[in-house]
Amino acid sequence: MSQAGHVQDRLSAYLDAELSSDERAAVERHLHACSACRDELAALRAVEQRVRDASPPAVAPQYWESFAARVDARLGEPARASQPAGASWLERIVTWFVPPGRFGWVRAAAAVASVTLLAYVAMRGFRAQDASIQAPLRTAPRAVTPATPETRAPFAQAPTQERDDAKLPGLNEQPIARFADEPELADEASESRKRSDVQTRAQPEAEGFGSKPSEGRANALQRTDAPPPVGDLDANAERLKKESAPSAAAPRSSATSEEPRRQPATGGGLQEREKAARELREVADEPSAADVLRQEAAPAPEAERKRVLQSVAELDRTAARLQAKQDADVTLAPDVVADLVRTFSAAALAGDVSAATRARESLARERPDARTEIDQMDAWRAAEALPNAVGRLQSPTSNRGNETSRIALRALDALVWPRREEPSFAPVVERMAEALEAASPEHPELRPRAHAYVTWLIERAEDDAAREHLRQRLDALSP
Amino acid sequence: MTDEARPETPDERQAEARRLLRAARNGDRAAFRKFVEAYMRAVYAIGSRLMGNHDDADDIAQETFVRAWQALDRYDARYSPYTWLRTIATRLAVNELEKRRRRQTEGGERFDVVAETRASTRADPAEELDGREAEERVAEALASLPDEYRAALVLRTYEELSYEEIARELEIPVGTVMSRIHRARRMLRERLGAPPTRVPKAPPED
Repeated sequence: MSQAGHVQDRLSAYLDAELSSDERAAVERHLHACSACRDELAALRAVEQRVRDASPPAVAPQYWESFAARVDARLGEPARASQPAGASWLERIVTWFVPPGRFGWVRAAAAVASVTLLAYVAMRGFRAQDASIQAPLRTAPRAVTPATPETRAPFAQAPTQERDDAKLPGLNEQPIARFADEPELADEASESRKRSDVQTRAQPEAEGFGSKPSEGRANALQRTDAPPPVGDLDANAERLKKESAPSAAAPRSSATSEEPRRQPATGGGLQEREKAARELREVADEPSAADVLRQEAAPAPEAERKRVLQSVAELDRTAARLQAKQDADVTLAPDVVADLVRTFSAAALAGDVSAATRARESLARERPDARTEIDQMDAWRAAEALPNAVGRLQSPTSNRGNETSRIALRALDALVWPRREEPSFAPVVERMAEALEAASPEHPELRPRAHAYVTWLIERAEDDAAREHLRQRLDALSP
Repeated sequence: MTDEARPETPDERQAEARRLLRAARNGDRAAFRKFVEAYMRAVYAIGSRLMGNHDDADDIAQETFVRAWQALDRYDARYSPYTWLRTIATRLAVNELEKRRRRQTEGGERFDVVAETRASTRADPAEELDGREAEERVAEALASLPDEYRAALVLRTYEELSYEEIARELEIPVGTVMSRIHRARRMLRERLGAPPTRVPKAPPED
């Protein structure tokens, strides 16, 4: 209901003191006469206050206790080692696809290309499966246990708790700690923030050691001049007169020296700071190893997807023909290969990943000479599992170990292991180790790989304590 | 947390943080760890408000420090440590939200756990809520906003960036920042309903 003259869409900006002085004056003139807009402003201010007052959701103290250790575990290399120099985004992608020999189980170069194509197909079919796998995933609370050595290989053990136990994220049967209750500097600042409100906040808050920003606080000085109670328009008029003089040019006063972007434009200084800000953003924008892996598993466009679906259907038809031939002539020995291929392709088309895997396993057992067929199955299967495996692997909080299939892990292993020396892959190596360790009980053939990763980590360990933890994990691997 | 005497004034704290960063730049992992402990809550808060759920907040917070470590030799001392971390965290969060928007896949769980706890104690909104319930409602309401509205509002309300800074951070025009913040607040108003009864701190607004 915005008739001519109503200022509703500018009220937020008015509240935030982001209007020019002319606009602000116009809004205030309108507010003086319009109770609807005054009500709206009051409501907006109330919402803003409530949001501002709310601390972030609480997490259990154990979460904080283990936080720094978890970061530390991901650091890998000393400070000086930066991203691999010169490796452009494109170069990295290309190296993945190069030697077919890198993926031992995929022969034909065409199969390599179809990995990404099949990924899309697979994801379509896999969704149903995914749902049933995701369900237990999501009900298990995050395994945030204190990072003691015994619990550092957690995934096989941790999420047996029921969801009801976890009232708060990161909780592990411990009393809930409120963010605001903890005697931390961070919370001193948030406590004192609660005492102020949008209007009366005048003091710049201390920038605590771990507290909320101070740079913004200094600007609060400026902002508290912004909307006083609407009724007090005379004061507004006074303030407008005062403000229009000195600060018109730089409405954002230069706060502290630590807020480079707020410095008044002084030519070179501002440009330098802009540049620094841009470089800073680039740090966050650099693709991580996880990004590279995810790129690998990107879904294929629709046309290719159709083509791949067709080839799987073709496989199915061929197998059906062979089957029919067998049925027609009972003297023919049953063709195991055809049979299993048929089973496999039916399962693949239906999106039944476990059935497809079982068919592949049977074929490998009974007719290991059927290399072509096995490879094709592997290509399809790994492509399907791969995007999900990559997705889970790159998310350190998800419960990945148990449900990531063995073949998917093998595929990831083939991608990650040759690059284990690269600093940006250090966190991925860590997660691979954990995933392999977690999968080993169910898939003992993965144990040697888990062994290899943990041994690698031991060699790279920073100190004796870390080495000791890792050795314990190594011991846990032996049956 | 630490047994040594805590630095008292804001200046001292910041000087301490810078000292830790210098040491970390020379390879001192223990110093970096102290630095992490000093800022983890603040960085987590940014992550959780921008992403709307704990798992993603944890990812962002962890990744922020990892990136910071990798970029130590590029740390410009003109930034305060907090600003530096905040920029990285915001960027990571915004990138991730953008990726998801493009991929349209599910992010981490929203604060459903919170909703469930609350469901059993749901009260008449006109009744007085204790501080914790009120906060959980806000967290929930925030998390339920569309990602891009929430990002703009969070950067404004908690990080106190100007509209122009937000525009730069999110790579959108200033006008878009304005409308997103406005819509976010209006949505929140609907979802939060009547405010909890409490003694108003400011003069009555109506």
